[in-house]
Amino acid sequence: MAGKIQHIIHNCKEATHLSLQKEERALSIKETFQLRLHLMYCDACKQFIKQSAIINKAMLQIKDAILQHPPQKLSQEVKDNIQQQLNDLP
Amino acid sequence: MLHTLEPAQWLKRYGDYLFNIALLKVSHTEQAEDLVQESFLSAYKAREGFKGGSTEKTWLTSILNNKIIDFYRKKGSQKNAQTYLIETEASFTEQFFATGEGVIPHWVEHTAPSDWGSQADQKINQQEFYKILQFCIQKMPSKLSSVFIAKFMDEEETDIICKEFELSSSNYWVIIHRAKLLMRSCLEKNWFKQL
Repeated sequence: MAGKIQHIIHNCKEATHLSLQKEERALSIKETFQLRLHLMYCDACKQFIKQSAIINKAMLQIKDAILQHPPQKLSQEVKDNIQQQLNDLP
Repeated sequence: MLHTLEPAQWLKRYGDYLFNIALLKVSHTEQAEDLVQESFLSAYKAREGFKGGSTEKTWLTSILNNKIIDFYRKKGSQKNAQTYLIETEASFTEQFFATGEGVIPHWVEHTAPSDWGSQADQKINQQEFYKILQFCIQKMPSKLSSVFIAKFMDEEETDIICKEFELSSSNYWVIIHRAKLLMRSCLEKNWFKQL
């Protein structure tokens, strides 16, 4: 038992994996216990959870950000080529 | 309200936009250019079928997405996710966690998430941030980024993603986990720690 608890407290790989699943589905009772126990001892994983939410938010906004300020531009040559082909279609 | 199409404006309005979306997913400039071109041509041919239920932008984006799915299907690169994940498991894990005989995988000092500060939420409202985000997506192995984008940018349902990419549920979660770890550390290094 003590070994099992040690394992939960130190296993950041498992805790981060569980925390991501928690974003999408309800965890089982065992998983919930495991994650809670881990987070009582691990500040780094707490940061991970916060930051994951920030990343999710940013990913939802990236399309709008790209539409407003496209970082890369199609070259004029490619644009002309596409326009030419569109013009040639019936 | 029903939306209408204005094909004469497409290139000007959405050319660069679609190009950047394509670049996130295929990462090579020439492939992205080809995909944008094919999308516009297909869209033009299909314009009579546009029912006006979505915006022009959404409609064009979905045509591009279908082209990209075909592109990956032809390459066959979505196959063998299982093999890929198994082969890279050890080397991936040791990038982030302490490993070794009998070692429980925990963060090591230089990979542990550090505090992004109380303003972190606002720091993602800057135009410059999205260049870094784009860079971090493009840096990821495409087996990971394609799934990550489908989930978090295109907001597809998990079971649809699993079907589309031929993934088991557990492989899906391994991919999401790896992608998040890479993304987090890339953003921390290139953005949140730089400010």
